[in-house]
Amino acid sequence: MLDSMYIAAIGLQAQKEQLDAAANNLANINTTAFKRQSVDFAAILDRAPAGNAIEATDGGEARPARVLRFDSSAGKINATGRALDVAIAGPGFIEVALPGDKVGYSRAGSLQINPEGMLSLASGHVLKADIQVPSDATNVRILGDGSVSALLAGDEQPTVLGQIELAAFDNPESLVYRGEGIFTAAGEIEPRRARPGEDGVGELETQSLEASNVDMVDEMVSLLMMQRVYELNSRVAQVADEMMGMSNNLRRG
Amino acid sequence: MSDIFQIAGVGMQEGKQRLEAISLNAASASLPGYRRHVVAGGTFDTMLAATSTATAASTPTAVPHLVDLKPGATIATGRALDLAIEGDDLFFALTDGVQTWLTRGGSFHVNEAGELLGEGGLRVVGQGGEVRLPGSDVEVGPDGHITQQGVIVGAVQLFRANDPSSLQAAQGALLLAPEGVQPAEAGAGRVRSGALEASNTDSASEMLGLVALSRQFEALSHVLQGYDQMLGRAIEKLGEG
Repeated sequence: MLDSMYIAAIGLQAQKEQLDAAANNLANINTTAFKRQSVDFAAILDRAPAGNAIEATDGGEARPARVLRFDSSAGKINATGRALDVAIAGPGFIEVALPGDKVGYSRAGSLQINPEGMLSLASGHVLKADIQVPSDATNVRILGDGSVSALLAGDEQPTVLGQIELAAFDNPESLVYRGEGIFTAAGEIEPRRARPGEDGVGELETQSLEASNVDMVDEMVSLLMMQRVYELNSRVAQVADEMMGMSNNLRRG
Repeated sequence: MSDIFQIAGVGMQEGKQRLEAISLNAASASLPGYRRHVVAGGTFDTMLAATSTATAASTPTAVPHLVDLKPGATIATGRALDLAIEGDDLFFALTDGVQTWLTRGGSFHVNEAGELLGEGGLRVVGQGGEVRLPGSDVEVGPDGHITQQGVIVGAVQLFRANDPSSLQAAQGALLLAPEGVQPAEAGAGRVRSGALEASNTDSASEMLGLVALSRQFEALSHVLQGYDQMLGRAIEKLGEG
């Protein structure tokens, strides 16, 4: 009966983790380019002390204890009219520099110019393309081909300051989410890089942003479901407890 | 004389196993493709015989859990490598190279080596062996063919158990087929991409099972106590004689 209690506890924990994921999704429903997360149920239940346990498999090491999984489907693209907003229509990511020479990948294209004049994400991470915007530049624009141009003081014609490239992965699900809209690649995987519109990395939609791909109705329905399953599991634990109590009291008459 | 102890004991042991099945069903109520575990009670005689021949204080050998193959509801997920099977008694096969499991849980992913993996990191058995994909950016057709930009890059295969009634529950949504498996004939079923089959745990019947179980357990414990008292009194009275 202890087994039953442990299994019920795992069921309760699984529902709790799902609830955390749903709460996180709902909280980020208005976050630019947020990707919906869900809990990989099989991964939680693999910890169950059930009989017939599977031996470690060759493919086993390919599956770390990654319980969270994100939904890589695209969100809706909304026009914003802001010159430095870009949305990616396609699988590509914008590369950003992370501390320690690492590279992060993001789709949250609400770009801005940081105090040092570098083009960066809204979260403050500087783009890997390293685009410096002089302080006297006006009319900074991002074009559909990824080039960034601005009108420098005293010039009549805009000057190209740099080029944003997109990076696409064959297997976007292998990316690891590290928060603030930024993903990192697992292991040594290198993406293919190309200018927007080339090599299937996706088009750059200027003056637009990608919405989150969270669907409120779906999340609410799964919330209701979770609550009921939680209830069922807690009831099982309760009955297991009662039965244990009865066995313990057998001798008392 | 101690027959009654043994009979009540068998009943309580069996109740314990049913509780374990119910708790697994409840814990897996949201695991895609999960099939309810059912404890095959066996006849009472065989269970009692098993306990009386077994050495004292040993529990009856754990009966493998059989499964209820009733199909679950289909839930749309929109993810290309989430596959639901349309058609009864058809399964995906997963293998670790040695043993093969069947499952209705079609939530697959691609690892760094391009292998298509299912639950527990087990490899999916496709048409003509393992499935290797260039990436997860693919489409899956109703006949199981996996295409990337119109080019066929692999195919999943549906399987059938030689004897569906002998399927045993293994970990999670996996099933063991002791009688072996065979590929399903073409056109026997369809694969639906972007959907998963839900667990077929039925909370009402689990709840009923739970209530019946706790009462049965209570009754058996009273039988034991009553018999124990009776024995005690008999010894007392006879001792007076």
